Amino acid sequence: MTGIWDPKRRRFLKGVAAAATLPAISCSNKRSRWRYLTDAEGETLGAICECLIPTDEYPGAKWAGAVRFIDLQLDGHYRKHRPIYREGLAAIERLSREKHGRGFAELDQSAQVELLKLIEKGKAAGQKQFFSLVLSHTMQSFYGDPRHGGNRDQIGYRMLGVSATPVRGRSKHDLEHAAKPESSV
Amino acid sequence: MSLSHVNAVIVGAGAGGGVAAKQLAEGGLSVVLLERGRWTTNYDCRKDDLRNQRSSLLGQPFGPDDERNPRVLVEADGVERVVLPSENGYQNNAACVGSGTVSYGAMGWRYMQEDFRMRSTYGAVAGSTLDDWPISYADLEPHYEMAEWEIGVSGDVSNDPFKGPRKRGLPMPPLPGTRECEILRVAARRLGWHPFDIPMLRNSVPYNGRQACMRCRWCVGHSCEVDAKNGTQNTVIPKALATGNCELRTNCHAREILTDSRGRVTGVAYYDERDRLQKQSADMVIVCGAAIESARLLLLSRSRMHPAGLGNRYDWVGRNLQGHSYPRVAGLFREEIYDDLGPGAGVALCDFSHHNAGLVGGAMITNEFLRSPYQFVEKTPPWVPRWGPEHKRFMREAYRYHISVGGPVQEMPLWD
Repeated sequence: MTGIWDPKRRRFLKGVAAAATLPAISCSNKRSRWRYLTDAEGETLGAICECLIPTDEYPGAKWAGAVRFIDLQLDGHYRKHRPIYREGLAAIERLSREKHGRGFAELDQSAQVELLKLIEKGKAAGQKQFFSLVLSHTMQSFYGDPRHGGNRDQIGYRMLGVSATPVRGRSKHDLEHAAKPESSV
Repeated sequence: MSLSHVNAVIVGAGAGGGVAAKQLAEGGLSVVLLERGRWTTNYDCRKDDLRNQRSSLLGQPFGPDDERNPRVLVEADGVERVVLPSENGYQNNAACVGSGTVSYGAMGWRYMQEDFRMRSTYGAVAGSTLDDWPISYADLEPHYEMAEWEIGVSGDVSNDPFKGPRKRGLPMPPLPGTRECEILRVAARRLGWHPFDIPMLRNSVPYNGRQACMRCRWCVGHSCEVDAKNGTQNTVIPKALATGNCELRTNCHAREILTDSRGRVTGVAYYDERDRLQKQSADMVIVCGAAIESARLLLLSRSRMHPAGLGNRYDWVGRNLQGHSYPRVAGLFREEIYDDLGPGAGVALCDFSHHNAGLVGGAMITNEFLRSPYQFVEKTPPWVPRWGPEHKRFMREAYRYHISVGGPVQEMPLWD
């Protein structure tokens, strides 16, 4: 990502634009713990997800890995949503500073929820699509297969009391639940 | 890959194509079976709630791939847009060997007698092309029986008084019922209806050399880890290949059916797995690409003798496509229902399939296949917020206490 490899000099040519297929945004991933999001974006997003599925008797979306899920998918299958996320997270930060003089992650949860409700209803700068995406992605992260980065320790499945995704070798299978044969018709 | 002349080319290795391949190959004909998808294996069965044929949010494990399969969607206002299989509006059927029969819920219904004679039963419907089939239930009955016994159907339809007459029962008993099925069965009888066990293309006992269903919660939309779900990929297609008369070519996209100067079919042109155009010459071509792709292939097969596409002299190809609306309703109970026993669907009613006052046709009703937790996220009733602490609590408190029923409504075909 730092440039083009020069085989003669055996080093990357600095200052050369990276491949055109990558978005022309500074990735600065060496400084962020995430693949796509910056640390600050990760903080904001974590706070949003935690409002959508908060902690009660069970952990909330943040603990369960919502940001990890979303960041992984933004680096993969949800790559096309990158602009919406980048702009949406920036916009909610701006809104938070306008209304409360502080960043979104620094507000208490009730103030965060109020801002999210504004965005959900479309009362803040065309953010409905961003809200809709974050909501469905957060739900996917909590209730979907843990292999995608969320549902930490199968918490979503355990909360509902459903069976966990089995982890098996290539050809093994579990006969525990196989139906007992009945007499033929 | 030999491209010498064969007796038959079959386009599509799904439900229809697989059966045709076996019948012809066992009959001694040389067959090429073209499939635009690939084989799937048990290893592809990931039981992934976010990546399956029903919730393909993170991909379609059973195809088709985005790269080679765009479609053009024409909206009601005439605006065209290109859609990929991973996007809404595509109307995605699977594309792999066995196609939808790998990942379906595997209900194995016979049509009812009235389904073949809708116009005679109900009369003409204004604005609709509704008509009778050229064949009757009686014509198909022996073939239904052959399919049920050869491919393998479990269930018990003896309590369905609305079904067509049949010479033989089903080869396998129903799976043992779940709590949900038993609650519905008792209630339906109390209401004077006639519940029965859904016929399913699924082993309830060892059959065809494969074991019975393992009752996991990942059925509809997923391939079967223990190969208990019966599709063409684990029944008729292997049999076709075992004759030595049938060659299956995967990752091959049919482009058009070729004809000679007299308008007679001479073979199929297709793109192979490296996108090279190939031609397979044959005495006959059998088109088994399901409703959308079969019509498209015929329309693409234009020539001087068939200027509007094959079989399309009167502009009927690609018309009268019927989907069905699929209303569902969920109920909340005070007692715990969920027992984590798949596939979920098990009991059905045909009391409302036909002869409903003021309606043409109707719908059968079944209980639903198990809903994954993510599928349940949006099933919240109107009084529950879509997010936040109440939504989370509702998920936790309602998931194991709900039953969902529904059924596909018979729709009236429209020429447009």
